[in-house]
Amino acid sequence: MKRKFFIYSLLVVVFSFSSCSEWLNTKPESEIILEEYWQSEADVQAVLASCYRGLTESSVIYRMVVWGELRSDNMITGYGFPSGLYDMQRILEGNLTTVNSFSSWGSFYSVINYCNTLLHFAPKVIDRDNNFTEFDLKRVEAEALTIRALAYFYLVRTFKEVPWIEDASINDTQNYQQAKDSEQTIISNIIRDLLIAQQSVPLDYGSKEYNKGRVTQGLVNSLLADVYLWNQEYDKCIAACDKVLTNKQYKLVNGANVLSQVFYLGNSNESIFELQFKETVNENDAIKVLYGYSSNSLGSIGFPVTLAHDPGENEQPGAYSPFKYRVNSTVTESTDDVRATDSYYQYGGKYYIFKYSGVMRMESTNGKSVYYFRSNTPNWIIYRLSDVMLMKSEALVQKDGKDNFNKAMDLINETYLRSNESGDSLRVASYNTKIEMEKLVLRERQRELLFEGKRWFDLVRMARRDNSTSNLNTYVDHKSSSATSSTLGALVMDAMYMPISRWEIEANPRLKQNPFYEENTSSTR
Amino acid sequence: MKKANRFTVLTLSFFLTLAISSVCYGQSEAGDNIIQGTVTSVTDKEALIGASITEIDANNRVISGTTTDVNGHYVLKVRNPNGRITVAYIGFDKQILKISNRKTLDVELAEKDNIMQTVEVLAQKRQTQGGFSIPEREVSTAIQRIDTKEFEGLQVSSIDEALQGRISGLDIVANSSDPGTGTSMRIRGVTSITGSSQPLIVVNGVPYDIQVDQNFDFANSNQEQYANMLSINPDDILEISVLKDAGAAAIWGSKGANGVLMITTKRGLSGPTRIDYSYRYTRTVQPKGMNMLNGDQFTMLMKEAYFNPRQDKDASNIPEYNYDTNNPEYENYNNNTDWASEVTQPGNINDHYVTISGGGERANYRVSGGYLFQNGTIIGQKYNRISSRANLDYRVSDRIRFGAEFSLTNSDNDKNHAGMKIEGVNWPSILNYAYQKMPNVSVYAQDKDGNNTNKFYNIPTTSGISYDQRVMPNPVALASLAKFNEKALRITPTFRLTYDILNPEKQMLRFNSFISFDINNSKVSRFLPQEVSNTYWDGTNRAEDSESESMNIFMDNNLAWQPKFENKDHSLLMYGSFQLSTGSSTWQNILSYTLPSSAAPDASNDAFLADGGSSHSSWRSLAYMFRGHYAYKTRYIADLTYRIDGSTKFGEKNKYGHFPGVSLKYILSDEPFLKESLPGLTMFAIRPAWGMSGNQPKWEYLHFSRYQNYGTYIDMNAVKPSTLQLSNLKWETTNSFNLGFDVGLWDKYIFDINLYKKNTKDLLFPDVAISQISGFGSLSYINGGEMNNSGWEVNFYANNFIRTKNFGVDFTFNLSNYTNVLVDLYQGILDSYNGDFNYQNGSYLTRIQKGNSFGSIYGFRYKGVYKYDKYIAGIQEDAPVAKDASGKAILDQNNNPKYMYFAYGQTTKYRFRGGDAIYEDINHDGSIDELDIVYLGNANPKLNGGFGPTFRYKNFYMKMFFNFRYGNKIINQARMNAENMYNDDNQSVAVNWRWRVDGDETEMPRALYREGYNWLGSDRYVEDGSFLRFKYLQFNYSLPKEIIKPYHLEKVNLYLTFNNLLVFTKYTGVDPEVGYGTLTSSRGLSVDDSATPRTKDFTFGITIGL
Repeated sequence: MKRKFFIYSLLVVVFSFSSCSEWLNTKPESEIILEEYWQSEADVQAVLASCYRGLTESSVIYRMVVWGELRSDNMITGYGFPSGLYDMQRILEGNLTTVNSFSSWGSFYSVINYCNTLLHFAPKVIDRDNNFTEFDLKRVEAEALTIRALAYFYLVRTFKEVPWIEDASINDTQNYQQAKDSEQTIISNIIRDLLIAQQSVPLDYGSKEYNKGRVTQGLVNSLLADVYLWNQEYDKCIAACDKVLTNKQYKLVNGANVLSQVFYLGNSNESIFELQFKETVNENDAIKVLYGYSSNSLGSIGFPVTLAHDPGENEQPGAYSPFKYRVNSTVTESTDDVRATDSYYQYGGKYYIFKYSGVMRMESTNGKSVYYFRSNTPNWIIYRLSDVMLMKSEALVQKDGKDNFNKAMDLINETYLRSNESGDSLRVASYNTKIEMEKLVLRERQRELLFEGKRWFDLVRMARRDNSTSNLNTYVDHKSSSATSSTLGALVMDAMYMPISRWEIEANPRLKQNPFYEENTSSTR
Repeated sequence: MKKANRFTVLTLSFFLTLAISSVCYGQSEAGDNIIQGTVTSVTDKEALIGASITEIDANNRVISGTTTDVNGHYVLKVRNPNGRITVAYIGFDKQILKISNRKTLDVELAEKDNIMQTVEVLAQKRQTQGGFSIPEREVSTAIQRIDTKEFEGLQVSSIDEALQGRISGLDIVANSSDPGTGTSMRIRGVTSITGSSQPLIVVNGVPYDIQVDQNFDFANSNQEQYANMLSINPDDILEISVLKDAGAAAIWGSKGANGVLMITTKRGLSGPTRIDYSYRYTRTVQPKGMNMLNGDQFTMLMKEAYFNPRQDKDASNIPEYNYDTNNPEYENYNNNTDWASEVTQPGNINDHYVTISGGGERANYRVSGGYLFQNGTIIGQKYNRISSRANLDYRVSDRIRFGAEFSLTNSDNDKNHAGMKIEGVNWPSILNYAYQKMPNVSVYAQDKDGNNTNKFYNIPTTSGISYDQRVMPNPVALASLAKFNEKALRITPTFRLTYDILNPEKQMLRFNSFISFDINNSKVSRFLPQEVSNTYWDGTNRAEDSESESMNIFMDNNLAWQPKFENKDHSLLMYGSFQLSTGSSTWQNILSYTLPSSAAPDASNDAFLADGGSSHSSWRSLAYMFRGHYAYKTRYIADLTYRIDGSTKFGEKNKYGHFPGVSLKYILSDEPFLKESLPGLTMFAIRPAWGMSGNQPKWEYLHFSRYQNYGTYIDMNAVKPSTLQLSNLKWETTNSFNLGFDVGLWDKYIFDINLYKKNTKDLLFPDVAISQISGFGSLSYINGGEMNNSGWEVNFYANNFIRTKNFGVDFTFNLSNYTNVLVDLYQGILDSYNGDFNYQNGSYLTRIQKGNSFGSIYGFRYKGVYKYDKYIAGIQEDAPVAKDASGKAILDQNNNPKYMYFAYGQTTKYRFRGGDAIYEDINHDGSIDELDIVYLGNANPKLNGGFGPTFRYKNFYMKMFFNFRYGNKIINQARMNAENMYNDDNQSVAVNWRWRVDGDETEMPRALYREGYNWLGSDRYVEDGSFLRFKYLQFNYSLPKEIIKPYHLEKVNLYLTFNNLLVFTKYTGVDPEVGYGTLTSSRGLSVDDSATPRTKDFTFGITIGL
């Protein structure tokens, strides 16, 4: 009897688990699985936060600088390029190949995928969470659409043609090999999305950090203006700019305070959209390394001597400086421009970036400056009011005509005069032709938006209008003191765009390389 | 006699009381049948204290018991007044008496007869795997056993070191000789290229693999790979069986594809208590590495290196090399520092080990404890290990047995803060730094008179010297100030129960059950103080603490049935098993930067909290297994295995894997006709076998699309989709065929030969790149490829082949070979793993290619140095101009020779000049580019093995052992770094033979600071890694009984061992034993990057037995 019981109990032990297929289902404890996500508004908000968070990745910020400015005349090698920045060195040498790590676009597509995922799943949450209304959904979608549009706008300016992806990536059975879409498709998709977003994006979130760090009407309109300007739709650009310029929220900061209020403290009155960083949470590593900060005041990027003007040290500006620029025998622009002293500084005969890396500059009695560097982490500004003013003036100049020139000049003077307090206002009479006006806008944008990731795109926009890279090359060659190297710019129009990473093409053979970088290798694996 | 046994008696009675008290508990209702009496000795009538009196039932199961008091008196409550009691005392004959309702029972015990009678025991060695036990001669699969007696007296901190070269087909390479680092181990080559080619280790039937959290898997896992074997003290191991073919490994199913190492630990033996103590002292010395330049030679070289590219005197005007006394830093740059000798030291190991074992009729036990303390050969390395293991076997009755094992290992390892990856930056080993650091720089900052101060010197950030040197840590400071401590505690208790359901006399039906727990805690703390370098970046005063805990429970219930046949020709054993395992782990990590001071190296202190995280994971698996063994006339043998594995690692579609195995054996030599005609052929058997086994991906939860915390933006908590769901992932499956032969001649010479072929399908590949437009960089795993391995192995033993009364010689020899071919690979994998040639110095084109072996090396062919700069036909032929296939210079339309270029047509193009390296222009197009890259060899050895004789003379043994590898290629990166003359790094003395002026004939190119292509990945640095190592020479002397008897000692053994006496090799590096690279780090290549080389050491040891 007892033995039988023993045997039975053994059999129970042996076979008790045998039919348990449930036994083999475990779920991760520190992560949430898709099947359990997307239940409430909080889930939606958290992925929305990822869309922003993705933009603050240093791989994104590096690219905003490299794609937007490194190739332009504004940047040269600064102090001791760490070997990790080898690929930037290569670009500065004019040696841009398909193996350059900055030709990979993954960090932007990650952001795009967060947006796509949100746009795919958020509508399902309405049925699951009563607190999540149609109105909430529209607002969230508007933010995601705008961030996605911003990411695509960077891609289209950098690569010209990229695949437009709208589907959320969920599993390994989906087809991730997609061909490129044309530039026009991308741009019209961007505009379509922004116009949808415009209907639901709030004007004011009720908090300063949200108003500057999240999608607002101001950002949607600035971005629209930028896209129209890129697409040479000047009337639409002007209309979009006007929506920003009439917004009472945005005011220019006093010229002497720009360095500390706009770039050191951040979230200033003139800021429209800036990526928010906090040292305790998320450091802006890229800008600290590239531009410098207190424990490493010499950033990895420098400013060419040929472009610099250093009023305290040397009255004679570099040969191609936009500061103390002689327009003609009587008119000289920016003789005493605060931007020439606040944006960069001289050390050991080389110029280093002070914008973003500085707290303040003190002038001692002998005219020498003492520089104080930040020890915390800077926000990264995508759009601010002066940028929009100068976009509008660029559009106005393109529309040609005295009247437009006058309007453009008024806008230029707003940014110009606040930084040249002792100077006279600029007058159309000194420029007169469209070409001269165009150059003036470009110069003022260079002075105003120095090191803000804009200059290369400005030059490409100009070259696209010229349908030639010769002017672009002239500008870019200014950074090189030796006359021999004239290959830094772009040999042909296609060379203005980045190559697609070779590994990306291997992972996705349907992609076609940007024509300039096509290789006729027949090697196979 | 009695005196000597006092301890035994106490120990035994302790165990018995423990065991019995639990049995007695709750039996008071059995009635008041009390029996009492006195136990005395027959000879002197003295009372026996502590004699055990137990009541037993019909199955000899103990149902109650007691021991006698100081007067030899006992009182026992008995359950069955008509039952039996046993009376036992160590050294006396046991008596079994019927109670027959008696109330008093005095017993007189007789002392045991000490005269042993000659007894002939006929027993066969058995191969036991859990409840599955068959005679060894009937084993039909490729299994090789090794008894750890072979290694007695060797100083090894981990058993894998001792196994090296011992087992054919098992290739073991030490990663480095830093204390506490493991080895790379491969059974029959690589079957999987996912990075995990390491065999499964099974200890007493329990798989010994730690599953770690994905986050905890530091990028440096290469080093730690087999460190987990370290937690088993080699002295506790009885024997190791290596299951090589899938016929055998199929019993471990989805984990067995890389082979299985089964370890059996020692258990207590019946008999008086034995106490063994052993102590070993080892002194280790690092062999002399590369001869590096001293400061003076180095600065001279650097002047030249800076001058050459620009041909400009100003270019070489570098203050650090100028010996300019006006330079305030002058004293810090005028030295001749030998960095390598600054960081090395002779190491030593102290190893204590105590065992207490014994047992009686009911219980056996063995308890051991060891303490090992090691100082490494690089300053700052300390390793401490306490290990303990206890085994207890208790026979409840003839049918029920209970066993418990307990083991504990606690290690504390102070490593160098180097040789790992921190935030994507590789920190090479300290030795590597020492070889690179500029030798004219001083270790300590020097004052203006050249006296050392007490501060370490670091090159200031404002120096114009290259970035790499500027931020390079001071190796001495790094070794002495930085901290990298790893503490680990592992506890593994196991409980076993065996029950014979039927009377084993008639037929065996045995139920076996065990449950094992594996509790593992480890804590890693690292601290990198500011003082070690002048980097401005966030890496200074950086503290990182991480902790992980894991617990795994493994349960095995099995039933073995062995019927007794009337016809003795048949024998059958059937075995079914159900295994279950479950486990979980947690991991957490804090990382802080810029701590206020180096006095508080704790990551939780106030500082910038750079990173922190934690994660949990859990896993489960189950398996059903059936095994059958059938033998007819003990010479026709068949085995069958079928295993079904289920795991949480896979999605619904592929949860279960099926792994069958069949093996046959035919013992020809047992056929009567052969026995008569060839009496000398004592064994001849053929063993064909086939089986399937598998391999799993490393991580859990791959079949889910997961969402993960992603920090915050402003004040919004972010969650992002972190993985793509892998819905089609499945096991990697290996099909393997084995054909084995066992040959024995005159019982003296034994050959064991195996031929095998393995085919692995659905190779698992981790991190395969997919188009980034998906928003993800890679898929964590895909199944995509097929690989073949084939090879052969020979083991040869000659036991006592020379034998006289006092003298004997044994000899063992093994040899193995394998080849490995990638049959098919998914295109995406090839694309994602095969980078293109990057047109940079120092790197090899790494690729995996269909039809070639994994671990193949591709690069340029190095042809020496251009003697002249300018080409003059017939006079200065050896100049950098393009030449056609017949060796004639190619001329342009003006009859000028065309120059030789590197990467002609690219922006990186470079014109070769006199003194530059010559690379073979395979296609004669005048440009050295990727089209000139050829196959240069393979990291897999053609042959490896070991051999060694043992000589015995009376009480004196001498053992020698050699191991060797032949035909593998190593990339000598240490030499590449020491001969490139490209940076400000120190170079070896070989560069003194560099090309300096036109006409110099040399193999060493000119010095070019950051110019040119003199150190492209070429066969110049690919070296033959063949070696023959005199691994150890051991003398062992056991003191004769007559000498030790007066001191009440059982045995005293003395050992003297010389390890790594000699290495015969053509390899120019420090040590030709270089570990395999992983797929992700170096595509399976062996790269010598100055890891700590194998030390030369000697060990003195003594073992005392009581």
